Amino acid sequence: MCYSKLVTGSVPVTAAVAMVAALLASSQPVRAEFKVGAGLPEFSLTAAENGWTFSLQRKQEQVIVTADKKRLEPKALVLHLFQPDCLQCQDQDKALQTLHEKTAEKDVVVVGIAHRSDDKAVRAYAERLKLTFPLIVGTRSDLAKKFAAGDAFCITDSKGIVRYAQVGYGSGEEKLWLEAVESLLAGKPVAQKTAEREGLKVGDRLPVIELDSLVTGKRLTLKGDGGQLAFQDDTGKTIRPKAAIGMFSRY
Amino acid sequence: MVHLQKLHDKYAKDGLLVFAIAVHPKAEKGRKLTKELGITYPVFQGAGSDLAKQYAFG
Repeated sequence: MCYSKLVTGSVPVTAAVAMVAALLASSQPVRAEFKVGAGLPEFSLTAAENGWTFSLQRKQEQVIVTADKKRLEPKALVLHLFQPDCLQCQDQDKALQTLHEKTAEKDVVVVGIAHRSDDKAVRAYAERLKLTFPLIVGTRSDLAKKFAAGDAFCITDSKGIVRYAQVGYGSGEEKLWLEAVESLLAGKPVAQKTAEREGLKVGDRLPVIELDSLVTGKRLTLKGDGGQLAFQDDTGKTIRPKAAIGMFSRY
Repeated sequence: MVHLQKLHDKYAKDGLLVFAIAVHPKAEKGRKLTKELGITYPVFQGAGSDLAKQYAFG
């Protein structure tokens, strides 16, 4: 699921975060993002198209990709965990297609791994978006279970070490991917290792949220009111919560 | 969304507000899913909003 969480409260935000983290600890599976400096795990999965095998191994300081029985030793590997029904993933994969076209002749492998879909849906996705880089079905794979928190993305060097990582996609970030890939091809360190974005941080105030209800179409308002969080529901009733947790949902 | 519903069910009475901001442009799809999942906490329609553009990554 693609999401960003917002946590706040009338209590100090750090306390609210700790409270909610504790609440979530028992109910959410533990997942991680790709970490810069860490090695990509080896895997072997099936391509959506024609069912050939795509595998990644790390041998003697070199990442080895086998795609449709072809053995490749890329200088850079670009990997995106995606879902066909995620709109943000679609934008990202269109941008990845452009990167693939620019770098296909330069020892760069671009691969997409669907972490919640089947081969039929992935093939339809590739056809609709005109994607020609390999798309792999990784549903229920160890790789997906470990890294598919919010559609993870990474670029590794020739050793399979992650040198750039991000989650989600913002328009224009493909420029950073290209810079990272070009640095790796030139044997240079990657300067910018992730996408810098504006986001809510611990200690920030929650922005005023004044939008219609998805369900009733009536106005909902959440804002700070005299130092206290106040939520007005679609009947006009106001409550003053002690803490709040929210998420962006793409479904 | 389902896990958040569990938090809502358990802690709303103690003062926890759970909410979601839907950013999918097809609102009907979101309404249908909300109903199917039994979501009862407030869901804002945020598709195209400045808030979504600013913060909805990941």
